Amino acid sequence: MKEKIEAIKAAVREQIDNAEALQDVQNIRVKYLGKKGELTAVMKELGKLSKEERPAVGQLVNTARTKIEAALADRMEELKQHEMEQKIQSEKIDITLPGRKPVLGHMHPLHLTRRCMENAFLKMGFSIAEGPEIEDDYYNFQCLNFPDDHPARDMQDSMYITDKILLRTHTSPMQARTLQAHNPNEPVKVIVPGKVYRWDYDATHSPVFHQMEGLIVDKGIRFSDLKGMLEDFLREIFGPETKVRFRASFFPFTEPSAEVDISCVMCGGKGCRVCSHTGWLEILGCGMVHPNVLRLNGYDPDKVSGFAFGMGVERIAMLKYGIDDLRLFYEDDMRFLNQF
Amino acid sequence: MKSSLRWMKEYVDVDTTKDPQIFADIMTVAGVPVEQVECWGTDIKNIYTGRILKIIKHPDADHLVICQMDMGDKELTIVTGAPNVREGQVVPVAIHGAILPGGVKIKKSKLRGQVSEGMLCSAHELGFDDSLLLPEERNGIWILPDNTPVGVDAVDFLGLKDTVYEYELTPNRADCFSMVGLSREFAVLGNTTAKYPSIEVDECEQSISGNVIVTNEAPELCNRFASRLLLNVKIGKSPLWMQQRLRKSGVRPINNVVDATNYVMLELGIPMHAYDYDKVSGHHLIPRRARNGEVLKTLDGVERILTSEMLVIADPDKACGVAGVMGGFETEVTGKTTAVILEAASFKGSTIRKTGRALGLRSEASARFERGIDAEGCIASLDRCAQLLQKMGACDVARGIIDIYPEPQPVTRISFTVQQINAYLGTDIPGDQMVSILKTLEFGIEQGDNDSITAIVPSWRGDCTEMADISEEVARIYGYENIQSTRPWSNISEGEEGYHHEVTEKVSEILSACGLNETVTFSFMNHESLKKLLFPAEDPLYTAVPILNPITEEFPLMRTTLLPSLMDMLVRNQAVKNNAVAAYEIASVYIPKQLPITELPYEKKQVAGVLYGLRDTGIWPGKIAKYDFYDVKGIVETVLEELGISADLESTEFAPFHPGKAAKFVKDGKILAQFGELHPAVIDNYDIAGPVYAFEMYLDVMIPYIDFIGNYKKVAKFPAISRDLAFLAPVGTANSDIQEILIKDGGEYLESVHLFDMYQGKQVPKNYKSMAYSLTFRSAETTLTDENIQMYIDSMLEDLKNNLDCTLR
Repeated sequence: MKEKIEAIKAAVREQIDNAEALQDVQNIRVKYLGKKGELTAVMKELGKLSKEERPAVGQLVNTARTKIEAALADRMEELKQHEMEQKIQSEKIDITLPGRKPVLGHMHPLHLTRRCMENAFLKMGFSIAEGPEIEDDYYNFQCLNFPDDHPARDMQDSMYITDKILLRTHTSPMQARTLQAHNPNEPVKVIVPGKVYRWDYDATHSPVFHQMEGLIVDKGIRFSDLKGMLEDFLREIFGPETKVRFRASFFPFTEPSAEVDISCVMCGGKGCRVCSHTGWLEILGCGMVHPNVLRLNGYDPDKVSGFAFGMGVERIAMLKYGIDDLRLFYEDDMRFLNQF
Repeated sequence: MKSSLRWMKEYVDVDTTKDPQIFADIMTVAGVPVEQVECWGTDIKNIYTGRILKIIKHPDADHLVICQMDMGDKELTIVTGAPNVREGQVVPVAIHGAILPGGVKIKKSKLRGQVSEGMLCSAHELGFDDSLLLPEERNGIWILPDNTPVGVDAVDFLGLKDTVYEYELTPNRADCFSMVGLSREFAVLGNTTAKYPSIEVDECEQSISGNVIVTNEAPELCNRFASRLLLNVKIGKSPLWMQQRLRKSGVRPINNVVDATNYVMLELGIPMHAYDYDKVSGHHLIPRRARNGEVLKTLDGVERILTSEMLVIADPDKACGVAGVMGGFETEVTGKTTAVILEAASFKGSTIRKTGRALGLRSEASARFERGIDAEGCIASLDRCAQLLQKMGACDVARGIIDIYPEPQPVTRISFTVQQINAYLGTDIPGDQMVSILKTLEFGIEQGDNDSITAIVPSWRGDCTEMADISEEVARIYGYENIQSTRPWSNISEGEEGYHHEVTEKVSEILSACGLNETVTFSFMNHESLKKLLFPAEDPLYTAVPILNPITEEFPLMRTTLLPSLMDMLVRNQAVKNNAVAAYEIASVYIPKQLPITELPYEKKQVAGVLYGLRDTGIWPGKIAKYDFYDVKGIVETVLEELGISADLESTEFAPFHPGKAAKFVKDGKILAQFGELHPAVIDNYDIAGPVYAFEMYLDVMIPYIDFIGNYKKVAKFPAISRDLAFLAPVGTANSDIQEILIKDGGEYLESVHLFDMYQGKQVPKNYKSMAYSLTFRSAETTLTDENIQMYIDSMLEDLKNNLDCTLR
């Protein structure tokens, strides 16, 4: 019987080695370990042995069974592995074929830029206010300390609807409207994004463009606050390394006034074509709210002070995205818009 | 305003060894912006003065001559083609090894076989633009004054090496429109003091009074008119130094009298005019309004038609000049002039500006008057001009001045405290420093009680009227860069976006997520576009806000609908062969309250969009697909759904749309949105490829119905039962009619109804279509069985059969 067991073990080993499919392994199991299997048959014959022989042979059979079970299991695992590999191999696809892209729309770069600016100011506590694009001369000029015969009032610079109503030339009339909507000397902190209009149409001027105005009025607002806040804003938009320069300037509705430059975003201040080799880019105008503007709109410059600023969204968008032609914004070519 | 640094050094110490850009930056940051720094003659060399000793004809060339030149220490032979050379003249000579502006190198060479040891130079070749030269100076060698020393370095003698700053002055700084004004700024910024020309005139016996009369008939436009009389005038060239200074300031030298007036304008900032005394009738000058239609030939030879809005200086017979803009031809100073009336006056800036615009004339003088000049400076200017001409030996100066100045400019006094200014600026600048800054800017200072200081504003600083102006003067000279950066203290700490803004942003996000690109177009339109869009003549959209001075003929109106702009956008995109255009715009339309406009119109936010061409461009693995009606409908539905608005669908008769392929969403009788395929006639009118689908949404109408958050619905716990039912329906049956019955009969458990297939063809009888719906039933309390829903299905089938002739397939 010992020989028989050894023979079975040898046969099984050989057959397992030759098994090429999971079914083959299954068949071997049935053939030797099944109810009518050869090893099972040996087991059944144990009864014929003497009491003395039985335990030893019995153990042999059991050991053989365990070993065969293990060998079958191993082979089974091997073949499964192999089959998986083959399956994976056969399922290989051309990953260089194009992906299925969902069609996404794109917001206009002016909108994206405006939003970026709005978010920066919202974080600083400014609220968004929007005003009419068709505006009274009163709000557009008078309340902002523009003298009656200021050149901006000429037909050549503004688009007029009547002699008293025009397309607003800046977002600043909302300074007057906002102050007038508050009780005298109440604190105000708003930004005003919106379309503005000038009678100017060439490669570098659009008759319709976008500005963002800012106004803060409260007790004890200082010129140094204006500096700090606009520096924070510009570094948020153009990066923390941006250098900011304040230059004395003039606007009828601020005093002192400043023009603000940032270090050129293209060359970092070394000088290039974009910054006309000065290293600086003019980015916004600002200043302390002119005492006359406070007075004209019901506030008392002896009690409160404030600052205001205004900037072009197009200018900032052009610098942010490196767009070199203003006209691209209004041509709305899909090939342009798809890039944002 | 252009100014030469060499000239500037006459008034103020300037370290010319420093990079000229440094001064430019200092001035710019302090509010006197330098637009450009021109470095003249940086590379030129080896140009000397030489006298022409002898001229002989070139043996082999008709148009060339050979000049024997005295160069002081040697003689040179130079061949030239210039027609204006004569023996005895002194001219600039570029010798062998010379470099001219622009880097041109001059070498000894042979011209038609004759040796030439250099080149005689024209002013143009030495860097002066033709516009700065008289016509006779443009085409020949630069003939220098007879008394010019020979053999000296012409680069130095002619001041060819110089730095010229071009300023782009802000309107408030009229005072910087002069060398003296700029020097004052240079001085205060360079921590030094400026010295100004000492002005003295030697008057002769004869008096102006009785020889010149001035009557001011327009004091509202001319607040000062001062004049001097110059006698025994000898017209000639002005000295070379004066000519060179004028040229560097961009002014062409003409003759001594005109040059002197221009020189004084550049030096002191007050434009002047010179009249030929003998051409002024009655020697009587009258500032007055022009008569409507009055004609004046200006000194450029052009006949100008004037209006009563313009100021002229006239004599009793005629206008002699457009005040502050351009003199008259007839009274111009010429070679024959022997007596001159000099004028220094102050005119109203806005009148000068409007006149200049109307006549298409702008000059150095008008630019100064537009900003406003210092009327107090008129007398000094007259005296300076007389002094300069007298020094040249060009005239005698009659005794006295006629000065019409009825209301002298008041002196402005501003009181402030040091604390006040520091609190305003957020600085800690010592009082002495403030005072010193103001003194250097020539403000008078009076120290008062309780730390109060009174600044007396100089006459040329009309822009300074109160404490804020003083704080600007202090801040800009102290240096904006030296002011610390702080953050404002404020009662307001939280910003609010605002509901309308939030809604607009949300709509934009939804449409972009739907695959549409956002566009930005101009806010204008014209009536023709509305016609092309088939709006009937009586449509209220034609009632638009007209612009008095539109930017182009194409855009005379403010738009009342966004569609025309989007159509133009589509035309542009088709022109560049973009085959997939899905785009929207969110912007205002402008609706007049009445015409003509007397009050501000309504501005309403609208959303509009167009779809054209390919929804799927067919790039593998996609399949080529074109936009259709259901795309535009789906987009509008998505926006409404995302905004939480439920509305009723109705057909629409919106003119631009195909009547059979258009619909609108309505709520409470108000139209929220309209959409559809553009009418084929619209496609024809625009001569574009179709079909095009479009939508308009009226945000102002939608806003009250928007419910961003909606009510949360519990996620179902029990399983649903689904039934797919396919019906044979007569071809004309509307989906909505079938759905209406399915929903009505669906009972309490019906959760949703979706059309999932629609078929018309071989498999179904003629004039019928198959409509297949997927119905979902669900209970919140229990698991449903077929029995629970069968009764509902039965009544659906019955109603569909009876009402719509629809049968189960």
